[in-house]
Amino acid sequence: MKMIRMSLGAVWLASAFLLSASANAQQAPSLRSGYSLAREVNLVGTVSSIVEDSQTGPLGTNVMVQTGSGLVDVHVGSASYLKLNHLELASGDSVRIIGENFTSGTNAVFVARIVQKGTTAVAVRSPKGMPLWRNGTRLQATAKTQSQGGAL
Amino acid sequence: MSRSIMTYSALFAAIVVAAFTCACGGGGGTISANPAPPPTSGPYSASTLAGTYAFEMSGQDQGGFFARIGSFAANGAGGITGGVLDLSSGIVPGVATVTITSGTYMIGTNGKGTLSLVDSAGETIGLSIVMTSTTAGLITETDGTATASGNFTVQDATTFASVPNNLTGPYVFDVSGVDPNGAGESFVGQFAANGAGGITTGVVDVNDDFTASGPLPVTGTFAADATYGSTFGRGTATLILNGTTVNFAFYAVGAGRIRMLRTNFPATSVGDAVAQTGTIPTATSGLTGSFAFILAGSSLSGSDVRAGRVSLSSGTVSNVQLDDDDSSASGSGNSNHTAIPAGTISASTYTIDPSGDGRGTLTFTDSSAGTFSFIFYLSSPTQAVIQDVSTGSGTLPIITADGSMQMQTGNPFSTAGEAGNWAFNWSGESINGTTGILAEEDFVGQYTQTTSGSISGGVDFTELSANSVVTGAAMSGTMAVAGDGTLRNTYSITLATSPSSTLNFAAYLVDANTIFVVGVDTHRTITGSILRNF
Repeated sequence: MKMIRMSLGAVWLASAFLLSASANAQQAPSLRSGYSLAREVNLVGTVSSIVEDSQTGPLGTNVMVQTGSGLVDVHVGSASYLKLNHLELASGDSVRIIGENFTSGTNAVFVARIVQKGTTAVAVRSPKGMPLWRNGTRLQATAKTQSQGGAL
Repeated sequence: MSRSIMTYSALFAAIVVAAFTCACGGGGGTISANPAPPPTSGPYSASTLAGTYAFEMSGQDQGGFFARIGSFAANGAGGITGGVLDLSSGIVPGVATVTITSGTYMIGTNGKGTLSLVDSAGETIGLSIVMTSTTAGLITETDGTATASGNFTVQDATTFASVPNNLTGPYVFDVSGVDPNGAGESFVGQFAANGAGGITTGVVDVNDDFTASGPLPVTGTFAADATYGSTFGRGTATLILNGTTVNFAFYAVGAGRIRMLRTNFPATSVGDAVAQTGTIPTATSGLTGSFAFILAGSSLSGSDVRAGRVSLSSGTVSNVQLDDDDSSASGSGNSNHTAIPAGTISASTYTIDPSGDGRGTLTFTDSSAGTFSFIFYLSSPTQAVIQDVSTGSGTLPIITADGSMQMQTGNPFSTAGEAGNWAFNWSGESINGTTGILAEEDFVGQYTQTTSGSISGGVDFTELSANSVVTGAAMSGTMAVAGDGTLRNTYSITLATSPSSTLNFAAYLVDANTIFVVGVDTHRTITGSILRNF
């Protein structure tokens, strides 16, 4: 599974470099508008700090990245997932992150799809924005009431 | 084969099984708890479990999402005498069929207990269970090697020799999990079995990685397993979904139900097919009333769970209420709950397929939160599987999720009317402020509610974000039914743990015996069902 994700990450990374815009000056859409490859941004900078329990974005790990144009709050999903895929981030690391700017409530958040440090790149979302750190949709068995009960 | 379970022993080494210690725990985010008082009444005992039971569960292990289905034989006296299971996990990696050689179980008078299944390599799966009736129950894994939720139901062993020829007529199915790339996927549909191991016709809707397929044709085959078919109802199935082959292992509950696990690893999906019963409507005029629903899956920001209710009449949807717990921030902090309507509801319609296959659509638009759209397949005139294909403020699905929809009956509801004894299973995702870990959590328990809405009982849970397994913890809380109870109600539970934890929910009452709940708190997304157990 891990090897598959890494190779997919490499493929998506390559495609993203071709597709991504160098900048996206348009107003960020809300998370409810969905992910779009056409709006992707290629972010390059240095990790300023890591917030594993972010209070301002989606549940999960946020990384503050210092770029040439300022500090960007990046949601990278789960630090555990990155670690599982042999990528650990620390302050001072040079990173390249492909993702998209969104508004989340009153906050702005950069949602990462691919996180790269050195030669290691990890896809944290699919090209359509599906979170991969929780291995996609997790339909809890509890939501399937038709599977409960004893009807034969 | 034993590798599948044997490898578990090395997993989640950081998990600490919390004991009933004082509030001195909590280092590294772990949890201790005050014990629940022993049950004093109820109809259950070890003799309740007697026969073979088909189980199904899914969750998170060291390999990520995993699922297992199987069958175990209980002797009515606390012993497991055999069984078999199919496991799809990144740890195997792949799908393994594992023999269950022995095990033990305990059931208290209130239906809450434990179940351990020992495989041919001597490895043990430790589960907490609660009976929802004398024939079925809910499961959470609490052995510290993984976390998962599921359920089990008694099998009619007299039908095993007839599999697959006893599968005949229309069935509705709902199978979901992850696709080969690790993205979420959901299949809901209907097929007709021909009583000779074949599926002659059918229709399926797939929502894979935020892409909704629309209705696609289904054909396929069933076959009994020569080794485990006659003893545990095991078989294999192949579904051809618009030309794409999807393989399953299945366990027959009886002629009316099979439990299915996709075996095309790394794709891993699990679910049930149940016989369609009653007269399935062919026009919107035949589908009228109020319906509650519950869904779980993923959106862009992570875990996304929803519950709600609608009124259906002559093609129009009204009285919409929905609670969306979607892991994304809104307002201060990472509060992630949105109550619908958040704005003005419009474009509220539903359809039903005139062919009689039970397929329908349901949609409404909230001026603030966007468009909500669903596909459903009726398994009876009052119950359906449901798939979320909502597009939000865009044009493509922003969620992949599925679940159940059920007619609300027995209303008006009241707080006093909800009094009694209840079993529950909740599952979700939480982030721990101490450990910073974002991970799955699963709860199973049982409680008594008074006529004033006061709740007391016990709960077992695995909370990977806190590196903790807790068993036998006391819990208290309240249920407050609003108005006639058919809309959103308030439900709150406090765990007698250290650190203490309160879970707040929106509750949708389905009938006298069923409640859907969805979390409204920060730091977690969670959903589940609560079933009256005596």
